[in-house]
Amino acid sequence: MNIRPTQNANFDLVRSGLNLNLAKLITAQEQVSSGKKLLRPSDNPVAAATVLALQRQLGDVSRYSQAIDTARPLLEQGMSALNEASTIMTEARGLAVQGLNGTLNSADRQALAQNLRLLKSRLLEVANTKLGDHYIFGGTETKNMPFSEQAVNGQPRVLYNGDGASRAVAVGPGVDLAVNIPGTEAFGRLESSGVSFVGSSGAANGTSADAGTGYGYLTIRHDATSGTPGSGVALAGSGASDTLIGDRALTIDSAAGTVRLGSGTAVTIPAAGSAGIADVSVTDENGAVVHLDFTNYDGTDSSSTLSGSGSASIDGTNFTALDLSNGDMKLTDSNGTVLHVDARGIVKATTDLYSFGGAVNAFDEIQGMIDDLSNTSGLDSATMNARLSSRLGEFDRNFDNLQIALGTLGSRSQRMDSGKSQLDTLSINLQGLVSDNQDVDLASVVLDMNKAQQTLQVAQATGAKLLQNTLLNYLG
Amino acid sequence: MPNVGLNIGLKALLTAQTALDNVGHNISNASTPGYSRQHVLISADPAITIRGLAIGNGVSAQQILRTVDSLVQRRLVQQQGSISQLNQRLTGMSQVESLFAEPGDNGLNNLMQGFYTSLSSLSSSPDDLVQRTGAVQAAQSLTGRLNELTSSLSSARKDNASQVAAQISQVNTLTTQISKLNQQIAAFEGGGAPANDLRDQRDEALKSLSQLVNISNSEGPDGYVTVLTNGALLVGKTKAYMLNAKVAFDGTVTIKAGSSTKPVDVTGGSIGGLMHLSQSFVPDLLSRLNALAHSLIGASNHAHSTGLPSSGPFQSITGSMSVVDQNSNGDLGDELLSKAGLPFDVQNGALYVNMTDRSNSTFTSTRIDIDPAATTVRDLLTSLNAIPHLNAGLDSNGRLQITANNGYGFDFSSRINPHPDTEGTLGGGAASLGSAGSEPFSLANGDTLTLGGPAGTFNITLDQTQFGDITKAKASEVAAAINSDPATATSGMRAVAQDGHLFLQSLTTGSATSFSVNGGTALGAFGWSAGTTATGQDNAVGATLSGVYTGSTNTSYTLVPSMDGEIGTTPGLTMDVLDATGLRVASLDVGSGYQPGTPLALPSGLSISFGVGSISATNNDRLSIDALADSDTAHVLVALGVNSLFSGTDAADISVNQSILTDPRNLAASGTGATSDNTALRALMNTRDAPSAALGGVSTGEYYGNIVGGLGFEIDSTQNASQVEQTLLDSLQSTRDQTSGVNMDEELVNMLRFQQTYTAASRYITAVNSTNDDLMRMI
Repeated sequence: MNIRPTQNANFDLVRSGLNLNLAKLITAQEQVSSGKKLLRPSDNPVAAATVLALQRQLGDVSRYSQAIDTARPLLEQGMSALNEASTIMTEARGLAVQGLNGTLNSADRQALAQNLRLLKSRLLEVANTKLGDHYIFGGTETKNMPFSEQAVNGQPRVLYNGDGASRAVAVGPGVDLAVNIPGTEAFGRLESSGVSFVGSSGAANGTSADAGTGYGYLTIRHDATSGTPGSGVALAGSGASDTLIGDRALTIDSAAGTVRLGSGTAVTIPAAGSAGIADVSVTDENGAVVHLDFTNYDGTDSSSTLSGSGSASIDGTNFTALDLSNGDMKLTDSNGTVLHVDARGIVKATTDLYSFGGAVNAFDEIQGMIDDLSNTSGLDSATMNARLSSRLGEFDRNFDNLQIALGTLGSRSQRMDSGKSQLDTLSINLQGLVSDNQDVDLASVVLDMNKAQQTLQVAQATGAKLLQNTLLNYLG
Repeated sequence: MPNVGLNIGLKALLTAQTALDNVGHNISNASTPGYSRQHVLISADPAITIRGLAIGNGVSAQQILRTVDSLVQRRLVQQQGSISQLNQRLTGMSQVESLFAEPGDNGLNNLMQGFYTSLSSLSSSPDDLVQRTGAVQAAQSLTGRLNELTSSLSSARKDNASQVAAQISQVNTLTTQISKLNQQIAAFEGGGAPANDLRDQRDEALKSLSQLVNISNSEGPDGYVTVLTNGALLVGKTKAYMLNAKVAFDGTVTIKAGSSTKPVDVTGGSIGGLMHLSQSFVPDLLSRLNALAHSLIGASNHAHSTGLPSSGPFQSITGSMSVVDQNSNGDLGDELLSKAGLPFDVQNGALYVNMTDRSNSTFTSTRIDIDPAATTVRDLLTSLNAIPHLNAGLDSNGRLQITANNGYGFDFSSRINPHPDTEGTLGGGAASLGSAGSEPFSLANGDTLTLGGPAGTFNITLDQTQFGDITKAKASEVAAAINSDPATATSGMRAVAQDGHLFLQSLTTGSATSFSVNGGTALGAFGWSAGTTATGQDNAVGATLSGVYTGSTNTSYTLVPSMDGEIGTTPGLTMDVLDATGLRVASLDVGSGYQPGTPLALPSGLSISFGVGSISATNNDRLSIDALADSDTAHVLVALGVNSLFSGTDAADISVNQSILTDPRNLAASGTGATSDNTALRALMNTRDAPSAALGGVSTGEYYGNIVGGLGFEIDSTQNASQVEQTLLDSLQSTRDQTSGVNMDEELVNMLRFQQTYTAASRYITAVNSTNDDLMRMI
């Protein structure tokens, strides 16, 4: 191969060599000053595609991170509210147990009732906690107050206006956590178990299913007493203030001078002309009372049957006549409550407490205790204590549900915390990978730059020497 | 003696002079680009016979030739063309690459992530106005960047196209020059001597031309060069043909040669590079960005349109896409939905519209079936208007407008109806008798029904004009026929069609209301027998639905009592749950032991509870519940731009819906209408990773990653190719140089040689002259 060199070829060679070295120097310089070896996708397309994919994954991480950060205050607020509610409910229970103490008098009980009222309103405030513009216990209906006090059948009840929906937030791939607890779950979870009666009327559950929530009062009202006592004895006031329901035998024993209703206590017949002879109250074994007028008592024995008829109501306004042979009497009110009562065992007119088990919320339960302690209908202490202690079981159910709700929020908060720390670790790893692909190793690129600089200098020096050699240097 | 000597001397002088001139010429032009060194062809003159002796006659210069390897020259020209094209492409592509600004904070990748992150922050408190504003702003940054990128790319395309025009005029200058040189060379060489310098010039011009366009050239016998580009003649024997370029409005460039109408396809040279950039590279990027934006809009709007803003159901809404009068008959209503000029496709499916009564928050759901190949715009409007309290129409721009009457609101969500038994067909308060089977009912013209209503006995006669095909009567047709007879209402009854079954019901509720079926020829078709009675009840069972449907496809569940009984009382009473195919999937125990009001689990996340009341299998009580995963499977809301998040159709005009920009509270985050529900928002977030069929089964993020990755790869491989071609060019250049380049030392040596020859020749002349002088002195 005959290579014929020319000066032009030399010049071109030196020139292109210098350009090449200068370009390398500039690239190294660019990398040092920006700290990146991947300034544009064409610098390293594979790395660029990887970096974009990594950025998308980082996007995921930041998404979940942000979700956790915005959800946490809600959970914390919820937990602190439920904690306070828990304290309030513990206090309330303490007061209720105190109320069962037989040595308290009416004034003491009123004081307890007043304290309970204060506790109930505090609990209501807690249940209506707001974070910013929103009520945290309303489910997803958070604009309006979830719990409000209203009159139902003339009684104060707390009703729930929110819904039971959860607001779930994605805190990880495929991991959705609810950030709220609907008010019903915390303060009044529905776990219906049937109706129970507390009282002495003798009413019991009917055979058909009942519908409703909360508690109420079954009023058995005495309407009329029928029957002739005999021996010239009449019904005082035509039986208006009697409480007898059903048939009962009335025995007038002239020898003993007593009158007896059913198998109750025998009452001594007052002497003629004494005060109160016109209104003698005779009580049977169940506590049902009949008032008799002995003014025209002729002193003879008598055995008769007195019949008390009555009617029943669950709202205190609409009364249905009692059919004492009906084992499944249906009582309704205007709120959709349907109560079936077995009327066959009803023996006297009184007010019983009925309660839909598992369907009374915490506020109403406290209200019930307030009712019992303030005893506005003046029932005897045995009945009141029976009612008060029946409230405790339902109260404990609500308290347990509150703890469960608190625990749920707590475990969600923990999951979010652990999720967050996992995300932080993942973020660091991903950023490390991005940096591997994108960032320059400063030490090695500074070396590269020095190398390029040296090479350039050498190329310049040798080029200068090379180009100067021609024959012209030696011709005269 | 003839004076051969002096002549020889003279010729030697002249030849040496010529050679020296040549050396001078070479040295002067050593750096002239495209110069090929010239050498003098010196040969001895033929001998003259004098006195029987052949005496040499000296030297003369025959020709001055240039040393050129035409094969290398041609390859050099081609190579120049390749490299110019690659370099031009590289310049253009690098510009485009810098427009994308990836990987970087302002790149589209980051902005897309930022948008979804802001939605994620919003999901905890969907009603928070500050977070909403943040999300709307993030959306706007994303759409703004898409707009910007698209318009920058379009400008780049136009710039490249206009550069073509500028370079075409350069081409024309060069071809004119070549043609002129052709003439000059032909004229010069007609005199016999090669036109070396002119040929060098012509070669240089060809090289410059090939930098602009890909050419093939050949030299004819007369010394002229014909130049063609891709079959089109640029320089012919006698003249040059001008190229002209026309840039269309959309950026398409057409190049034509002379008066020919056939467009010239320029594939090489820098014009070839510019054509590639402006006709395929940038338009390809633009169309892919548009596909990305189109898919983003479609998927996002689909999730958003079935949601509700925090203010709850809508009072009035206007869509953003206009129906186009494709058949130009002035009537917009007769367009089929598939041919209405809508930018997004309507699919075969259904749309569910919910009407909420604001006074008591109850709502009813209506299903509208849509087949884009058969349903016209007018059909859709009619179906919408058939919904009570809803009015629909097209505004003056052909956009869908829907308004609800005062006191009512509408929405398109897939939420469940908490009180699904709107007609009281499952233990309702009214007396109810359902048909045993479902439609179609086999009836005949003139079939009768004799009914004993609460307010009187009456007779219904069915006429075939009330039916599409009376032998295959639909429940809705039968119900309409019965209700259209005034005697029905007067007697206190009505007919209802539900789930393909026909129900006869009393108008009033309560245990005192009852009716009977007395007779009639139509009884058999409905499975009723004469004498059947139905009685109402005071307490309606009032089935209550709760929970969230977690299934992925739309389905329905039907509840059918297994026997007659009282909820919560009758032992062994159960409610069968049938799926959409009629298969029993669950059996709910609602007999004694069931506490009325307790939710019982249905498949896929739903629960249902029943109140106190009685249900009847004998009277064919049933209730069908829709469980929806997607309440707009027809995608008609997206197509008409109703309740959309993004407006626009592609990357150039995508933007956030004006009503949401004005008031971020219009962002539909809620899926149920409740203030803090975030179901619709989560559906929107899930579109990020959902594979899109239009994008080839990848998500939008991946698709974008592929665009940028592909760009990077193409540039990188072009750079590599360019380097390879440059190396090739350099080696060709050096080969050419070896043959045709001037070696200064060589020339200087030649200079010395011929200088000596000149000196020697002049000495010789002096010597010969002195012999003549001697001869003269002799005389």
